[in-house]
Amino acid sequence: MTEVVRVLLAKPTHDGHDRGVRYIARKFRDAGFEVIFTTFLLADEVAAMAIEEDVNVIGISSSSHGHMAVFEDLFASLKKHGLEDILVIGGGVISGKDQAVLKEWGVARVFGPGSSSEDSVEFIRQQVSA
Amino acid sequence: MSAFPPEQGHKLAVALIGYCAEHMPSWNTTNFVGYDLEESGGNAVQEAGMLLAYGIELVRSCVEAGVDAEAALSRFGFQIAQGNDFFEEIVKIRALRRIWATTMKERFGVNDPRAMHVRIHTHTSGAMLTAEQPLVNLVRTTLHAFGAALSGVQAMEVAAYDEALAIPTEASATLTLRIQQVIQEETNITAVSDPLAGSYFVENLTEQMAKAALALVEQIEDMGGYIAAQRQGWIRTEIEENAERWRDDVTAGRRGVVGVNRYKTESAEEPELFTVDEEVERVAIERVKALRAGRDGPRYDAAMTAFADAVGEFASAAMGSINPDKLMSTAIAAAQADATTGEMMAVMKAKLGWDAPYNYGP
Repeated sequence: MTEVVRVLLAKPTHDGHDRGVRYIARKFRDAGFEVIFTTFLLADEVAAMAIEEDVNVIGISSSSHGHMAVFEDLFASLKKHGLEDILVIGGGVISGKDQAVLKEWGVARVFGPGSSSEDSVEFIRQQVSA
Repeated sequence: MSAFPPEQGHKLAVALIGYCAEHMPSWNTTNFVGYDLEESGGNAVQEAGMLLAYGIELVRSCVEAGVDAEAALSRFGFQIAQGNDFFEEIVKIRALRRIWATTMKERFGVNDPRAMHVRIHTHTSGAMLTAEQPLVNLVRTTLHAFGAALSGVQAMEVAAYDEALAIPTEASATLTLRIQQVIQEETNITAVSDPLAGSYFVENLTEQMAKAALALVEQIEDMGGYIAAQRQGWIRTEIEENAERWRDDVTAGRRGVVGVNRYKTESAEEPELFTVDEEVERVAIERVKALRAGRDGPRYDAAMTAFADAVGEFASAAMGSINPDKLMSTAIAAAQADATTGEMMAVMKAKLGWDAPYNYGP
């Protein structure tokens, strides 16, 4: 892999629980990824920022529910802009039941409680270079 | 402490205090959310020290904007975290009360006890709860609530055991209430104020906590105050570094968390979790549509134009020349013309700015 992996981490909806996602942002940065972090945006705005920042990966963090609507809108927006090749991952408080649905929608992986940052770094490296 | 740019968010806080001091003197204007500092990863010293540093900044700005320090201070409330380290969390509250009172008296010359009082609503920590073995969280939250009760807080809210998995169910939320009720009704510890006073350990640790928090305040003041420190990204970085240290310690097993890196069990099935009925969303959307269709259009337009003008003027005003009455009266008129919170926030975001994307590098 020659290019730097560019990751957009977003905390959409009215959700301020960003301790976990900011931890991951630091770990991604230390792994050599370019990391952009945003809060309080709509899914459409996240997609627009993904275009602007030309990212390989979008990570959506959810701790206060509402993620299903966010992912639904995000995928619709990415499709509209022809960006289906962007790797979409999730993290935070997302139930097993929701995770199963998200997988069908195209969320590559959900990193919930107990996940290790090394795993997520490794996963992105594999997926983006593939 | 908002997603507006630091200086604008700070001016808004002062404007609210100024308006209320004049027109709504019994309204409690400001909630100092130390909880967010600690839940974001800060330690007890950072929670107490950063809160006080922001308190100094806020009162100083109130005075600059022509608001009486005593009027401002006596309407402050505090939301404080109660986390895992039992005595450290208790002495954080004891130390905060002491250094807040003495600092405000010394710096701003206030004398009314209400203007020096740290009136506390505790929220027990959510960040310390685990998705693994979730019922064990009931033990953690009980200890948090017990510590808060020993600290003599005025009110509390206890986190639910299933918070690391979903929004709480009605049953888990009821249990959070029962924890408080057992402490209040059955233990008799609420009959005495500051029951740990005089313990050599608690007094000594309180002293250390107060010193460390005051040293942090001084460090922030040397940077130009809390808002300057926030603008430089210093506050955020300090908190994040501590959060990272905490998590790395857990990952490496240096810090024990039952169920996570100690006494692990094979993963059990998820408990029954709360889900949001989609009907709720539909009803909310219909309600907004009906409001918009039914409101007086010209009146709404005029009120929003006046509000936008006031926000624009406010955005470029220096702290000493803000006009809280104009900002608040136009906001109230817009709300009375059935403007939604979202519509008014859109104006404020456009005029004041909004949290910019943060680039972590490398």
